[in-house]
Amino acid sequence: MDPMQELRATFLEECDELLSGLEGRLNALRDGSQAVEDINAAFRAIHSVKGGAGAFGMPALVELAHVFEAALDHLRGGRIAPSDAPHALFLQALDQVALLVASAREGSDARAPADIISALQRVGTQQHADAPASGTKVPVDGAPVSKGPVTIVLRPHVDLFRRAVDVRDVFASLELLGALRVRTLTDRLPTLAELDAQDCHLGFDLEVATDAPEAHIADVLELHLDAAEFVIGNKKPDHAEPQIAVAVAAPEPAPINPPPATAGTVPSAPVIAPKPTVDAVSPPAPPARATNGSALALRSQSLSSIRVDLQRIDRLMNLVGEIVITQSMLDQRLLSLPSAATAHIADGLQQLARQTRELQDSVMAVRAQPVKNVFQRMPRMVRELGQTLGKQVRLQILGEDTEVDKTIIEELADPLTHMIRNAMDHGLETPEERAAAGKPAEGVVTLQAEQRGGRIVISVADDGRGINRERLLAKARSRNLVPAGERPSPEEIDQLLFHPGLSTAEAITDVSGRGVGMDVVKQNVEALGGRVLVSSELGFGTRFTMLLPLTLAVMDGMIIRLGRQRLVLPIASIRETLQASETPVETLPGGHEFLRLRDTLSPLVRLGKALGLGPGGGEQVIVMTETDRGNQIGLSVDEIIGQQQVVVKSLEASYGTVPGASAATILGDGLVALIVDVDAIPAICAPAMAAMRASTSSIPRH
Amino acid sequence: MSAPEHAARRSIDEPRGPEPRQIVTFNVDDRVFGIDVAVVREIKGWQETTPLPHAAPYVRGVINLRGMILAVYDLRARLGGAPARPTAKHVNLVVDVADRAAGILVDSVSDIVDVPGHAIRPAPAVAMDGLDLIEGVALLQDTVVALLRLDAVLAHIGRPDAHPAAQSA
Repeated sequence: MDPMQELRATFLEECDELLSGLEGRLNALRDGSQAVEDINAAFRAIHSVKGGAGAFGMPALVELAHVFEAALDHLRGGRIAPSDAPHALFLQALDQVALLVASAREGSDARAPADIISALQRVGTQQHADAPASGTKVPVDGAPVSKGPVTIVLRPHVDLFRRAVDVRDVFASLELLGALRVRTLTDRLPTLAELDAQDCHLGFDLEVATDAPEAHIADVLELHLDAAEFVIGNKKPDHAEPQIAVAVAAPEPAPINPPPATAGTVPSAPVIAPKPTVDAVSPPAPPARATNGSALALRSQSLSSIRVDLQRIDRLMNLVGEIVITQSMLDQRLLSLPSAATAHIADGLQQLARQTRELQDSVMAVRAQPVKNVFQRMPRMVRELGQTLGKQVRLQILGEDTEVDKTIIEELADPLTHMIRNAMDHGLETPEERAAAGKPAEGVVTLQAEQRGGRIVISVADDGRGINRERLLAKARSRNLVPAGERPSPEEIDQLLFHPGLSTAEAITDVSGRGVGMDVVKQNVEALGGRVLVSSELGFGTRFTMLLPLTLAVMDGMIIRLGRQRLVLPIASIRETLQASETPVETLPGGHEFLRLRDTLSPLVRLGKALGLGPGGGEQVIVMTETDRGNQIGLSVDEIIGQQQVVVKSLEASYGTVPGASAATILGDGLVALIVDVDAIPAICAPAMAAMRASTSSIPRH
Repeated sequence: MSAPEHAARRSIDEPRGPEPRQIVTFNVDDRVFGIDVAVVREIKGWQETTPLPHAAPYVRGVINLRGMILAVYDLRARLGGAPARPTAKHVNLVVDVADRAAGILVDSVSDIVDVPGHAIRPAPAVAMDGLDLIEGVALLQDTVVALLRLDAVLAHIGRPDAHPAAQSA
């Protein structure tokens, strides 16, 4: 790709982020936020879009972004109270901007609908006409001359153009405050021989007819310029500003020389031919748009971050994985050497292990992103769906700063959308039904993220009617999903919701066949190595919980031995380990074995036999594991070899699904070990669980 | 390790047919099989495999091929015989089938031969164990080579046999 195209693509990508941020801010404002930061951030976001769009020659986007920006500026200037702002219009405008960005990406040339543009243009004026008390300024055109002029001296830094600041944007922003007079200051122009056409040597003497407070004018200017680059009021311009290096001499006409070669001064690729030098000296010269610099400039607004191709990070991650393997190989080889000679090497290796771990965490952190990125798309959907459904819904969001691996974040949007729709559609009652049930008319959907152990837990809960288990079970029986005579536990009944043949709607209301079932959500989440759980209380609501791995790349494992086989148990699922000889085992009719542990019974699974890897018997150790559904299951194994970080390698990619194994890893000696899918064990020992339930009255709950 | 490079190449002294093919030949129990040389990624000596739970008898297990997990299939068992008892002389043919790599465990690799099109015959129409895995036979001067249908040999990739329920306790 040519560098210009690359920058353009980068910009469009950035637009997505900016717009998603903008949406978050607009939502916050709509929800009653009075925060100046929300207003300013919204303004900055659309301003950045406008700047970039101009630089990459997307006039339609510039036009829309410009009026949008101007409309938001009324909010920023306090001329419209956030509560009075036309939020619906802003969201529509946001959609249009997104559409234009999308069409720019496809190379087509769409335009924003004229009605949106004119509606945005009317924002300030309408407000002024409708609510004169709330506005203190006269906006846009036709500012009365009676306002006391404020003088501003702009002394931009020489790199102004390279930062892709368009002075005209500054003027346009100021014009929103009142009539503007501009006088160009050319006293710092160097001689033509010394002139770099990409430098800015111009200054501007401005008069704005406004009575806006100085601080507000400063705010407007700081959107474009550094504080050191302008002086407001009658104070003398600050001459200690950074461009002292520029020759102050030469107010006389500059001799016409060929423009100096400037290629070397611009760090980024395609150098735009310098404007003819004559332009640069003629006073109100439109500043050369430093086209190539503008993506850089956009970036410099958030100097603290850079954009990296995900593939590079993946490569880094793979390499770290290989290091982990090599390191455990070294550990193992060291064991075969006489220990007297290896003590100091072992020390070094231990240090290496720590550093590798840190390296790995750091790489993981690079890939981590706050779930906010998907969460903030939800409020709008809730609002719109609420209107469609005629339900009053409040979305409560908790823990949106929780960070998860980027690959997981990307896959979250669909299941989340689905779960929330489901909660609103089927979970929450109508306002009338709620009133009848003695609940407030407004239903609450809570979206929550938190990190718990090695997992991220995301839940969608509603305070609606809850799952009618009897009805669900009846439906399931009528479709032969549950054999007659079998009495499933409440948890098992809830799990039926995920059956492709049933839907939440049927479980709760008599409406059937609406939309996709929760089985799709389950598939999405399981594809990520996660699980979905549901819990519900009739009349009080339903909670769907997704348990997801923090990353798909590495995990802490316990290496165990079964015969000649080594397997890995995820540390996160291990509760404790027991000596088989010291743990009482009871055998129920049917041969199912149970552990009696602190007055509770848990099934005991001979892991080797369960996985078909050996006859089993004579195991020494019992590892107590806890599945994601809260079931405690003892796994008997021959030996615990040790704890180790393992690199997760997919089996699906090379073979297919393996019952009982979630993935594989490569151990220090180069052999493959399977990672036991602890959460799949209950399915393997389901008959034992049923036997246990039949023989005990207490049904495990969570 | 690198049998294809070292194997002497011979041409068949017969008139050229329409579609000559280059075939890697290998042995299982004194029977000679062949597959197109193009699908063979590499040839590796036997290495210990990690068995997979509840896998079919001909799924030997998985090995580590330079950081990649590779499933290994026991051709002898796949053809209906008893599972091989691999020795150091056994060989894994690493093949590419349907965007995946897989290993095929064979007794030994013997040769690479150019086979003229007319020397290839369709599989004989008699019922025989494992015959559905054969696409045809190549008649060479001194031997008959059974050409394997690799897609059929590895057909169940990604579709493991149904998991036998409840083996526990």
